[in-house]
Amino acid sequence: MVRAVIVTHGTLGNELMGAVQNVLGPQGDVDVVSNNGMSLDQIITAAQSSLSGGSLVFFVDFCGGSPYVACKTLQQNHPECAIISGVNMPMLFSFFTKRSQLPFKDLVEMVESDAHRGIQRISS
Amino acid sequence: MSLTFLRRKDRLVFPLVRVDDRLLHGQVIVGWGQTLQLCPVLLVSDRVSRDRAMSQTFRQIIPEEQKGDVISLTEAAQRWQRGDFKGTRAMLVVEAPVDALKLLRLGAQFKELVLGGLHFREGREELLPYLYLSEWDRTTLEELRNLGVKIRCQDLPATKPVPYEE
Repeated sequence: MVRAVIVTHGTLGNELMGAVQNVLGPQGDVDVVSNNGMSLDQIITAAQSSLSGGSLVFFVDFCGGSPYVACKTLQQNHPECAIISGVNMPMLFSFFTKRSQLPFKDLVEMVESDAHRGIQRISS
Repeated sequence: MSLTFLRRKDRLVFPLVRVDDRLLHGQVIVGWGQTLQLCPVLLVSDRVSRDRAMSQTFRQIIPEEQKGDVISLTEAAQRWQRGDFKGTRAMLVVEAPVDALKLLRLGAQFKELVLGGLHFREGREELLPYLYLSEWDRTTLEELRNLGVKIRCQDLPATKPVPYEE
């Protein structure tokens, strides 16, 4: 099973995961890490403890924050590991419903495009 | 954002020199950089500038208009002495008070230092929610002050600066 590690500012990751599980039900193989009160090195250590050696997707809130930098640092030594920024509910719906059906590379591409499709402008 | 409400003594002095153990991150790039149109935004660190992968990560996250870079302390001091930052809205970010002191000794004559974020670690005491200082940090800051540097604590431009007095 591809593992999800959600790394964000504040309580965003926990809240997001709670909302996703309200829709999809409980999900396994997922960790949530907050950067609250931590230096960059401490965030790296916290996220590192979620690594188990298997396939993994890091979900981060935005490109450029400390969660992103921490994941980027960890990605270098991990074979099958993707980072997707801009985490939102459609992105996680896509990941959790498709992670056991697609090969890793196809999965991350699909999750990214599903997340993009989740943003729509509805004009009056 | 208008910052004209700031009292004279609270006004920001450019180039800004900031201490932050998250180095370049959201508060720096968005909170300060995007709000105050900072340029350039430089990570000044011997440790990171020696590490190619980390330097590349940091260079990649800085928005183009902020003209970011990762440079060594010596390089930063040289640019300072050459006058590269005169009249700019530059921010130099160092990861610890000791790097600020080294930078000053290398010839970057900054008059003010902003303590932006030093997080909890064993042996550090809380001064503010975003600021935990070790005994060594305090000694270093004292030394900076004796060299004529004014020190303020401020995590974001929109929060009220707190003068460092210990």
